Amino acid sequence: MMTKRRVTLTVNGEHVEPLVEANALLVNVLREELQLTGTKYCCGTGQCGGCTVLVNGEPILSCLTLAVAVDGADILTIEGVAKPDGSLDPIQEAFLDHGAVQCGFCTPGMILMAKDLLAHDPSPSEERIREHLRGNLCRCTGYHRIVKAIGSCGQ
Amino acid sequence: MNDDRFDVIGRVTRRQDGHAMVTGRQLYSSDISLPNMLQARVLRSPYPHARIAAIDTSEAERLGAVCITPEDVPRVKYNERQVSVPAKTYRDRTVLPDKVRHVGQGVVAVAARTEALADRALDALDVEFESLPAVFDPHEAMRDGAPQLHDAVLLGETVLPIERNIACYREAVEGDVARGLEEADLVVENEFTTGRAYHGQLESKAVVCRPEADGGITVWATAQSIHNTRQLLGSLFDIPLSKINVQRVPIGGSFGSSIQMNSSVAVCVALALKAQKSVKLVLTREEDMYDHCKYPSNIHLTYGVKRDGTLTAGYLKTVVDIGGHNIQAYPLLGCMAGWFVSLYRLPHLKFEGTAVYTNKAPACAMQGYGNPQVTFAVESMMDTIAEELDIDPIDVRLKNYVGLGETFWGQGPTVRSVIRSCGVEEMLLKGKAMVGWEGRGSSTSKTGRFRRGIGVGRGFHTSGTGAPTPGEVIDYSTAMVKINEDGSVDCLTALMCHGGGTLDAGAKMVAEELGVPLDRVGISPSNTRSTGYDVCTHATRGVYCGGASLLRAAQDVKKILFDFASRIIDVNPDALKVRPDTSRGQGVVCLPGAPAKRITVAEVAKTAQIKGWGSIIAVVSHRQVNCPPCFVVNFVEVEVDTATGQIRPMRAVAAVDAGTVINPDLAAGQLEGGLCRGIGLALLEDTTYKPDTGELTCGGYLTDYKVYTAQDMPSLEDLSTFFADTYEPSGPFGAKGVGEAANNATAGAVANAIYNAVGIRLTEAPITPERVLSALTRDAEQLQQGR
Amino acid sequence: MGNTRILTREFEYVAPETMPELLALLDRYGPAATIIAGGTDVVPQLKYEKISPDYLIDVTKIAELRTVRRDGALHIGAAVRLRDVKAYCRDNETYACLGDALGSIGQAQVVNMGTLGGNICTASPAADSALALLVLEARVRLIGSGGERVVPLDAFFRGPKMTGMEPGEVMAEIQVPAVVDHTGSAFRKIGRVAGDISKISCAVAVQSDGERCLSCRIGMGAVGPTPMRMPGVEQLLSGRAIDAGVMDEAADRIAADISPLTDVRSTEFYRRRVSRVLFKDTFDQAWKRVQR
Repeated sequence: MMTKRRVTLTVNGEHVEPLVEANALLVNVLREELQLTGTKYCCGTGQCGGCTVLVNGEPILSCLTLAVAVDGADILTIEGVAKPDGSLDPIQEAFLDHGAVQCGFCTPGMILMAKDLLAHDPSPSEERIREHLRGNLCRCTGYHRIVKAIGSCGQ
Repeated sequence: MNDDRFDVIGRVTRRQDGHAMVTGRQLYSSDISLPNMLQARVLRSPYPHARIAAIDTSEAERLGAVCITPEDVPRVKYNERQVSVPAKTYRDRTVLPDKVRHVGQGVVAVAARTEALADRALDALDVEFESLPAVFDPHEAMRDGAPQLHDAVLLGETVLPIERNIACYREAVEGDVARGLEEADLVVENEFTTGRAYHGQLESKAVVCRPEADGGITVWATAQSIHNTRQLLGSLFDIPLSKINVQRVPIGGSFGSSIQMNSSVAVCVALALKAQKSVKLVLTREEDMYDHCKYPSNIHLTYGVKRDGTLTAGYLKTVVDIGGHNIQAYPLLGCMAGWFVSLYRLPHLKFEGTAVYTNKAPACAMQGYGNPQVTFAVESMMDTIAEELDIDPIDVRLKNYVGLGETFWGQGPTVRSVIRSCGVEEMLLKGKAMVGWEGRGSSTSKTGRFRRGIGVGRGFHTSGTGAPTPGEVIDYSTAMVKINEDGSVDCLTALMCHGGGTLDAGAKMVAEELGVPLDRVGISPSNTRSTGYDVCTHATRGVYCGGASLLRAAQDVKKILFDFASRIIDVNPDALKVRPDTSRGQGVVCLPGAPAKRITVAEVAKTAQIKGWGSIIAVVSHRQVNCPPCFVVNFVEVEVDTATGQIRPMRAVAAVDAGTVINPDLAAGQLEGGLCRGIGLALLEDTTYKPDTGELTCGGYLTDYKVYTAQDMPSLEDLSTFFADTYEPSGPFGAKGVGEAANNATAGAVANAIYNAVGIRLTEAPITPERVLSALTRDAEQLQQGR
Repeated sequence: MGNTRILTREFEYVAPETMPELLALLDRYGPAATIIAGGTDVVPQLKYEKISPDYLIDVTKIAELRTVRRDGALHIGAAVRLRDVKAYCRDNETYACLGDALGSIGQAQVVNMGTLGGNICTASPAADSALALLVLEARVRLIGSGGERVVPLDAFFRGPKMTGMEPGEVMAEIQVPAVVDHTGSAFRKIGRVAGDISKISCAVAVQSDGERCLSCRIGMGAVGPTPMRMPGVEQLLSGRAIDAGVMDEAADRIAADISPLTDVRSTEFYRRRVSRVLFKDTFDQAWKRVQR
């Protein structure tokens, strides 16, 4: 048996110290230890972006990330995107207003990628949006309304 | 686009489940977690065809795992797809097999406290396989002496011997094809294939089962039909249905892959029953890719046509490689016949379909159920005919399409009804103008490395499988509608939403009918114990059939509402109307022209409760007796790089005739998504197998099974959608379906666009750059030899 | 079949903070250790059960490996993220082909996680950044407990997933020499979808006087066991005035000199056929980028 070690994380503003094994992947720690199931396992090989979370403000694939390797990090998952009072982030509002959500399984990853993009580029071109999202697969929408929704958030 | 006839129908509204989805709070089967739950894993065959000689689970059990082998599970032969009548259902699989028929098939399952422990237990299993010769090509499989996958299966209760691996065969004949072809001025003939695309739904198949104290079970599963799942589990495990509760759970995409009860569901239930603990089984992506795929097709198509473009005869012969198990290819073949004959009028026609077993992952429905495959061939042929006769491709279609007043039997020979709404001409002509059809030029006029071409494809899907006569397919829905004591409304149904907004559409219909503001109409969580039967949310039947059942229940509820209101405000109930009053956030029952005779729905319901008149509630089981086509038209512009064979979709116009559109944004979303998957089918997607090992070439990983990304699709400006202005008399508020129709015409449109760009007819989908470049090379060589 | 949801392999995770610590760990654990940086390659390899380390040594906490320094040549620490290299290239057109290559990597998330050293050590014949670095004549500095050495990149690759790194050695940095004046470079690839792994890729760095190719370096990816330099074509073009005829000649030579295979991503026929046009397109783009 591997020894477990305690890692210190700030997840959605909350300080947590889960006990994890060396081979635990961040996606599973979030989903199982912390019950934050908004982060999805979809492909497991870094091809679909469904497990995207922001670590220290930057998007990573939590299915390819060892939890021990992000000890001390600040993590934002989809559950932390809305404001603490429950009001939605403008990106979330835009997804609802533009019909950008179908089955909803890719939505958490898409919204986090949009947050990352808009943080660096407040009024991204459509081309830029599409390039930024190309690592996040959506099987339902054909991306049209997702791109539209993110575009509408530009300043 | 707001429709003045309606208050909420046709208006853009936020979907009810959207908030949960954008905040990560939507719980899918794979997110369900129960106290003291075990995690399951399945040992899968590395062989494409093998007998299981011996299984030793003792080491795994020593690790603390609960194990099930073929010995521990019911031996009942079943078919996981339960939408056909029993007599027409082919049964060839058991919960765990004695013999594996494709790589990745489950053999032994284990459950343990953690997934890591379950995985260790898998490694500790000792399974001895006796490898058998395998066959991967359907034509080879039909030869004498080919390895035999199944000796016999059950058709209903009858034992059906299997010969030459032919799972089933179906024929449809009307008139005399030979005569029809003789009468033709031109006979065209070609062969088309489409690939074994993978559904690629983002949520891999998942199931959680909790054994209950009374001997029953509760199940959360990726399922399109909770009732069929329950019935099948009841018969497999001999548990009364009253003790089986299958919960309706949101699904992370399906595209037809959970019409059937997924193979892991029964495995999980068996483990839970043995362990007497809750068990969760979620497939990994690679397991999922070995579990299901689209029916591929190989189609030989012949048409006879008069000089003026009138079709005289059509003959379609298809061989379908169904893989190791038959997930109801019989109705598939019926539908393929139906799609073929209902696209264009054929005085003489013949269809022959053969479904063949091979040692590959079992194929099943995937958006269109044979329709994209048939339509790819037919729409390619329409352009060939147009070219040969020098007629505009749109005119050939307008001359021959099956439309208003004609018989439609898309869902197969037993599901016939008359077309009562049709927007084909409107869509073709409007789309033609939008895309700039007249300026597209012919392929011969195009030169240079990058060549653009515009193609058209049309098609349809059915809205459900209902019909005036009972056929081979079961089709009805049950709904309960209840007005609560504050005037809000609960809708309870086993209908499912796969993402397209089916349940939202249902809520809107109920809101419209009851005159209650939409935000006061709720879709209740549902399960098999609280709902009446609903066959399945498949076949694009959600809005047209499922919605109609909700509407019927709302109509019944409205009668009770008016009856109770009439007692309070003393008006003949037949004279009453109900309208939403947005300022009060309430429905108001009123007598038009008499302002004093008004009462809110809430007041009626509350009064009924206080006075003991009873609840305002109705339950309805409803079968649609029509099966109207939802027509679709796609125009696609592609750019072909003749140096690399790469094809880029540059521009598209997609239109649907869905009758009254309930949710415009979501309906357009269906068109956009369908188009994207259709282009994928045309240009990109296929699962191929290694001929020596029977393994997937991509290994089951998305690394080498590609689907299109946001960057591959046309820009916002270059993709337009619109709706035909029609009203379906048999539909709820005039609505038909959209879903599957959205991708049926796309592959044909893409192939026609490629032809328009480079003058080469590519018939083998996916039309990859490798295939394009080979075809261009052959073409250039032929040209040179010609000189 | 592996398991892509969890890691079933059990290992110890160590994250040294200095080079001496790292080298000591490498010496202690020997072949039982695997170095991990961004994890975008090592973690999938673990899931596919292609590697089975007892120790994973995370090198991303070593400050020395995370720095970029310039002294004529550009020194990029092996654990510098692709994202930072990409940003650097965006601001420095001299390394245009490297910027192209990094821009062609599929996901923003991978660019964010992956490191330049990791991308090279993976030794994939299709590695995008490696091909660009090859035509920039990059070298890698390797450090072991016995000392250090600098190896030209084209000598570093030995075969698919095989490098010239000795046991106990670790890549410290990638050195990209200053680009001589009047040089333009470009990288292009063909994939199945946007941001895909290359079916075939090409990188070119060319020095020109506006008419003649004074010198050039050409690399082709995914058409042999390693990212390949094309010395035959480089010689053929050096000193020649560039016109359509010369380019055809060079393209024919490219197609003849590569050794592509048929695999899950493409066919031998296809790769050979499109190598000509891909080379021409890339050369053309590099040529246009020459600063005059």
